[in-house]
Amino acid sequence: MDILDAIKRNGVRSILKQGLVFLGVLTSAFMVWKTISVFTNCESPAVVVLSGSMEPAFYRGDVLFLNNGRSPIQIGEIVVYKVAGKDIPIVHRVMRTHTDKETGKQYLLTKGDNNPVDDRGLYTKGQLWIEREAIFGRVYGFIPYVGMITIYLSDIPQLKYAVLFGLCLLSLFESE
Amino acid sequence: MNKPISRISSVASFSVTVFMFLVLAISIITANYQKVEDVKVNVQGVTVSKGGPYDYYDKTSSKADFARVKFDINTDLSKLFNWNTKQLFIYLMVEYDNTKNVDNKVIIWDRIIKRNGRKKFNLKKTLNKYLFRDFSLSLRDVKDANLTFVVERIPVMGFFTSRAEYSTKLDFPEIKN
Repeated sequence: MDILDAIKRNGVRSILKQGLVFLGVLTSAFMVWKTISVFTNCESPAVVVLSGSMEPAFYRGDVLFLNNGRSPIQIGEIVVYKVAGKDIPIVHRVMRTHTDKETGKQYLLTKGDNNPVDDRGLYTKGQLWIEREAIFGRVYGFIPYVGMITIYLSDIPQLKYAVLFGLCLLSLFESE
Repeated sequence: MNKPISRISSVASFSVTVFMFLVLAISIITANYQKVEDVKVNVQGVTVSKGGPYDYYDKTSSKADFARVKFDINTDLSKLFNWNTKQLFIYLMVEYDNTKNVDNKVIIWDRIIKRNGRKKFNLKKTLNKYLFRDFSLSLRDVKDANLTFVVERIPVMGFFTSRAEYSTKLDFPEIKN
């Protein structure tokens, strides 16, 4: 009944205006994200680590910052790549590079610091090397633990709905 | 405007902003570019043999040339740790050219140096940890091979920095086959 009272008192316009402000916040966040994307040449300039294969450098829940510069991949660099047919990106270190000096084509082999063997078991069947196109990010910095929130949110769906519900409630009570 | 909720939200947004600037400031201030003064890598020798161990993924393994590098490392890395250094990742990398106009770089040995682990060590007659072979089957035409000792500093938070600390020539034996 609170909402109805509010509508009576302030008219529909104030509610619409609040909706507009909310949309403004969402779109500006999206714009900032996309602007960073453009400058880093990387579709997702920050990712959350999901596995423990790079421990003790990265643990689950750490946030990595990525760019995707055009320069050839250096050895020892930590890169994020996707294998064809698998959705989950992998964050591992480049252990071997073979670069053709004329065409610039690179053949790369990666390995997780915490894994005893290289990544050939993770690649598609019969694939021995990763190429430049599979790599969509090169790690240049990180912050620990911050990404734990997103891991909790995706692991426990109830929590996600609880947060959404709470936000909706808050936005209703804000209207006065 | 003075409701508890709006107060909480403004305090929260201000503290997030402060936190972000603090992280940025810390990562710039503590970026670690110090040189390692005390490092010596001594190559004892390189041997090349044909045919490596069975490899489930790489079926050419039995026909390829594999190199074994024997080396000593003597270094003290304790000065590289500041309060924003979580660990160091050190590795030995071999760069070499061959006649196929390909630039090759291979990591043959690595080690993680933890904050409360041993930072000073003297390794004698160590062999490469990872298999060392070429993209092609043969290591015959290897020239201008260089062994480089690289230290990557991994911070508690902030930017990664990596530096080549020591470089030495690597002589490959003549291969007749």
